Amino acid sequence: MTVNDTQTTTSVPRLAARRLSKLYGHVAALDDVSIDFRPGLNGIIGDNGAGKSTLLKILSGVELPDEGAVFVDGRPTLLVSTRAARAAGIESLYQDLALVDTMSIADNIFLGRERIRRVLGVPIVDRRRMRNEADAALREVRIRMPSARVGVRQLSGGQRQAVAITRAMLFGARVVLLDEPTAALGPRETAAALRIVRDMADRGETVVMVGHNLPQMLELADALIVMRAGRVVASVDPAHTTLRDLTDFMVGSNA
Amino acid sequence: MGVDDQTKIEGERPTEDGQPLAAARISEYVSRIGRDTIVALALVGALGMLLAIFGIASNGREFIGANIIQIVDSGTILGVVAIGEVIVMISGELDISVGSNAGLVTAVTAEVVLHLNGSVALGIVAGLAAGVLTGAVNGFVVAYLRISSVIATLATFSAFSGIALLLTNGNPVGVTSNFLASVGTGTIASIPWLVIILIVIALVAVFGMRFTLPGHNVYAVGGSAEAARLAGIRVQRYVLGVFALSGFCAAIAGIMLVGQTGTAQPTEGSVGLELTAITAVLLGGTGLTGGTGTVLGAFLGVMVLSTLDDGLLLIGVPSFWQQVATGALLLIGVILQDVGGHRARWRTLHAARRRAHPTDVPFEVEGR
Ligand SMILES: Nc1ncnc2c1ncn2[C@@H]1O[C@H](COP(=O)(O)OP(=O)(O)O)[C@@H](O)[C@H]1O
Ligand SMILES: [Mg+2]
Repeated sequence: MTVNDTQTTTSVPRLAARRLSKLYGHVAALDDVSIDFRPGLNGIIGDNGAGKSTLLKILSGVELPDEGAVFVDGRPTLLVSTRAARAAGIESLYQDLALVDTMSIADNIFLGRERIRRVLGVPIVDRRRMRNEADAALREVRIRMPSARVGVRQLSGGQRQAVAITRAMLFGARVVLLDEPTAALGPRETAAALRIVRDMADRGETVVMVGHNLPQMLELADALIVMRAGRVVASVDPAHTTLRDLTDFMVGSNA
Repeated sequence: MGVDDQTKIEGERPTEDGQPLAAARISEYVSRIGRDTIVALALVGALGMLLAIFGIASNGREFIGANIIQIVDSGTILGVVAIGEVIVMISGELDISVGSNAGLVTAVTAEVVLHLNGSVALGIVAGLAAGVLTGAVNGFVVAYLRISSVIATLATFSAFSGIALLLTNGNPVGVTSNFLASVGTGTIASIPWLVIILIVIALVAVFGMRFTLPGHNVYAVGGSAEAARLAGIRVQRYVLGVFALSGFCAAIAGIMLVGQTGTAQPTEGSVGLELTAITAVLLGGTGLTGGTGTVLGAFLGVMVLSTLDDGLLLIGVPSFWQQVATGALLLIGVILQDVGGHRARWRTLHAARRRAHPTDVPFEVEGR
């Protein structure tokens, strides 16, 4: 088992989990989990029920841990809500893509952070500015997309994914959390979405992605964490790891 | 099969993103013009048609000119209630208690006026406070106790009426106030005060919902409370807020009612408003699922309903038929509003059938 190379381990990680535990009834969804996340693509793999989603929920402020703490840039940070997580620079994409179907692409990208003009103190939504900025950002993710004024109801799964990712990007998130972002996508859309994710990591953002496609994760990730039964069983450098190693870690035959 | 048919089928072929072109074209067209605008134009058209029909049927050219203010006038109380209701419905909830809330407000206003040396100002303040408070109770139960709004406001509908009857012992209470009477029945430049109140409230509501951040967020909450919550919008506060607002509108309506009739009636004239208001809101293009619809649509819905009522009355149609007509209008309106969706689905299905028809499509040996 290799740890990240020395030059990065010496710096303070962008995001760190320390001794996180979470019980659901008698099930230990997380059991004393500590991980450092650094700029680049951090992959998380593990069987169903390993605790991956629970970990991401804690990191994104959806759930509170029973024990342990989350550190952002070395500072302990209480993530009591998604709002608090966002304030700390952590953006999440949820498995079911939380978009408002009745609203436009631009409205969704700016949801909760609308561009505002004040007229006599009244906050007026600046739709034109939101549309323009959304269109520009969408061009940047290089995915075929209608104008930002179109409703998201009309988008394909891949396009919805792109909207959600664009949203994370546009607000200069320092950490982006993705829980199985390609689970609902076809092959072509998966490729496009993964390209966006990889671009984001290449730009130096800290991306944390849960995935189930092992070869894909091995190829794409800069660092890989393997979870089993609520614990981190391995933290490896994908460049020096084989598929065989990963499956062994996952089922526990070399733990 | 002609060349035209051939190209049409070509046109139905899914694009790269898997969307049939025709459906995409229709929906893009609708989203460019805006479904809301189409509904509003249709309602204005319906209004014009009703005015013309009743004008001809009543043999009176004066119907259109003289009665337009009267029509707006007869819809003022309903209009104010419907504006509160449409905001609640855009947020994805329903407020059944507005009618009985308005009745409760008339009772509170009257009792305060009677027992506090006839202070009308205090009566109005107390009435407004009662309306907002009862609305907030609804909102609290729905947002924080997570009771379905249909159930919660059905319960308070009953409770508010009961309290109004308790306050007044079930009898109408006379309110002698020159101020309320002149607001309720008086005019300025031959426009009734109640019409002016409705127009002002409607303009503020249209502006608030269309342009401001809180209005925008109400649409988001109604579209997907979950997505709104994850985006950091304080969903519970918004739900509480829209019910309080609806209570405020019901209170204004209640006070207008006192002004118009000179009495506080615990249930007469108020209970029943909720169903007509919901009818107007639905007619105005707002659905039950939240996130869609407009204040303007609800306003026009109210105008169409009162035109229908006034017109049928004018030409001497029995009032039972008015109710039948209202029901028919609601059904037709709601069906027409979904015509775009039906058409797109039908065309997609039709094209798929044709592609799949064994004699139309040559069997291809090579795969796709
Ligand atoms: N809300 C919940 N209530 C009860 N048990 C839960 C809940 N969420 C997760 N669990 C349990 O916690 C464990 C870890 O779940 P999860 O984090 O979703 O795993 P993964 O995403 O790795 O498949 C599972 O045993 C699951 O059944
Ligand atoms: Mg999961």
